Amino acid sequence: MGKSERRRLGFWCLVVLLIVAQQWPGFWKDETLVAEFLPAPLFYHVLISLAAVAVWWLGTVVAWPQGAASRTEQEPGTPSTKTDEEVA
Amino acid sequence: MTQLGIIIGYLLLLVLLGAGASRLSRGTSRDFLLASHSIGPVLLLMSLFGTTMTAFALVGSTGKSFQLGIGVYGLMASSSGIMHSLCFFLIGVPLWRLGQKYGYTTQVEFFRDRLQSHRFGYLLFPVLVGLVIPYLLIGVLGAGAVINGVTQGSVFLEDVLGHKDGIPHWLGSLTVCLVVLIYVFTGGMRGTAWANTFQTTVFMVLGVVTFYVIASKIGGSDSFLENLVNATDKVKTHAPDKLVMKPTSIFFFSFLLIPLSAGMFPHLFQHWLTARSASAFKLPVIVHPFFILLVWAPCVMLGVWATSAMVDGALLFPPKDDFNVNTVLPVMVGRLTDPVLSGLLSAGILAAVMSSLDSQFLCLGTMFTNDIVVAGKEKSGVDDARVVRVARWFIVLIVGITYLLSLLKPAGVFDLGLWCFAGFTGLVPLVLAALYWKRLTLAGASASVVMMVVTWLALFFGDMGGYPPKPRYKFLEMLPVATIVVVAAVSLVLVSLVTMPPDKESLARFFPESPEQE
Repeated sequence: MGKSERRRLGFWCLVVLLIVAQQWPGFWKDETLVAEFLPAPLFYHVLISLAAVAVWWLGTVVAWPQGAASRTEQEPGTPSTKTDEEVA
Repeated sequence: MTQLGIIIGYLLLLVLLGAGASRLSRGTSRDFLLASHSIGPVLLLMSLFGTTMTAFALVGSTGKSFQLGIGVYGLMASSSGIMHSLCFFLIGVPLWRLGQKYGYTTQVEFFRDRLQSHRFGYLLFPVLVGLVIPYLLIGVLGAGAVINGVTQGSVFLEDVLGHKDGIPHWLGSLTVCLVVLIYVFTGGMRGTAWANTFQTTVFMVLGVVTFYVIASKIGGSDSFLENLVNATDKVKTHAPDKLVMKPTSIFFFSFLLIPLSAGMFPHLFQHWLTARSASAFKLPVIVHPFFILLVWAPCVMLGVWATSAMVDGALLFPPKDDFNVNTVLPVMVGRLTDPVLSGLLSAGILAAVMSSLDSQFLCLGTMFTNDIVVAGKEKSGVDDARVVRVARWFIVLIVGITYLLSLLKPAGVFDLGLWCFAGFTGLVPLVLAALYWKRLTLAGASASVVMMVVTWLALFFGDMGGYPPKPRYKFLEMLPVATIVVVAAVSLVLVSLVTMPPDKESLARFFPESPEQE
């Protein structure tokens, strides 16, 4: 397994971990108030949202789908380009 | 009068925005329906976020948190932050790539091509339309309710209308339908993307402002942090159960499946195809969970604080059996803010409603023209101007039908929304298999769609006791979506495995052996 495949696999393991963490009921009944106003279960889920930002950023770096070229990078005459020229 | 003036000004601004976008139109169907694939990362982020966040995100989240407590954030928000981006990543980008390669405009075009069956489109089309129309209704009804809510008691309107009941629901809904119609009609997909970006900014900024102002009123101190502490302290005294989470693990898990529905929303598919490049998806994939956090966390806290907020020594919401939780946010805004902020926030709520309605209207027009009117015809033989004209008239027709349905005041729209999402999630196994599983067959795909519909109907009319559905319905201790998605996935796999595999030639177009073949 090459380096990029390992990174890709690592990223998807992180996504699974994120989902498991989102489902984890550990803090559900915790009555602690973070900073004296934010209930601990809500604070935990806010952290999950922030972790999601980090994990998806990592995904765009190490696991972005291959072969997804931009429209401007395509060879002229591909079906979508042709259609646009036809109708213009 | 101030609130009404702000709302009217806001609606006029949207009409001008649509007119501005129409000046950039290239006059082609591809431009009207897909903005000529010219949408960059920021517009794509804002339009995808605005489209997925309906009035439910502001009004619904506050009301549900009032009812259930802080657990609502875990049920809907943190799960959506993960699952929506997962859909953009796993479904949106590959579909964009195939759409670019083969010129798709709608989901049905993709599935017809992938399964090599024109007839499959006639099976999928009514299912998709059938699931979108009730979703539209929620927005149309919500818009009427918001305008009615903020204009109740207006002295100016009392002089004009002769009563204090505010602008009637039918007039508010009609006005919003017409405004959305005008800017979609004139601006097409480009106007929709611009309006979505503008409206998403409006409801996010106003959400934060409202949070600050209401927290200050409830807290009653000069320090913002102290206000937050005071507001939560009141809840700790009066309703401590709202500060913890109570659902069973299996019920909580079933909510994780609801946001997967984004993978099969026809209007999101169309937005995906507007992207200028695959790289344009990176910003939405990363930032979407953070935007959800920005909108949902303040709304959830407001809903929880509302349970214990006091005005003039009395509870703002005294216990009542027939209390409509959707009024929590509008009432808080009305009682705890001044008329200017109240008007602005109402415009913000309407922004959330309209930023979904516009995409759905446009998408239904696109689907009808592409999947039914011009389906199977040579593109060179189709009059492009006629396609745009037919799309526009179909949009008018759908708006009219939706508006007339809204006059019937169907009950339980919130639950109906969850049922719509359950149906869309039931179609997600199909799109995942189409993208990633070579062994998928036409029979397997058809069985999956049919079984999804049968299971959906059986649960809806049978076990749930018909319409309107019970507000706390469960099946096997979970939301019905769990059963629907399992049945659809199992049918797809089993029937595909016992039927003839698709031919290698057609598969090669979707599963190239090497990157060069792409």
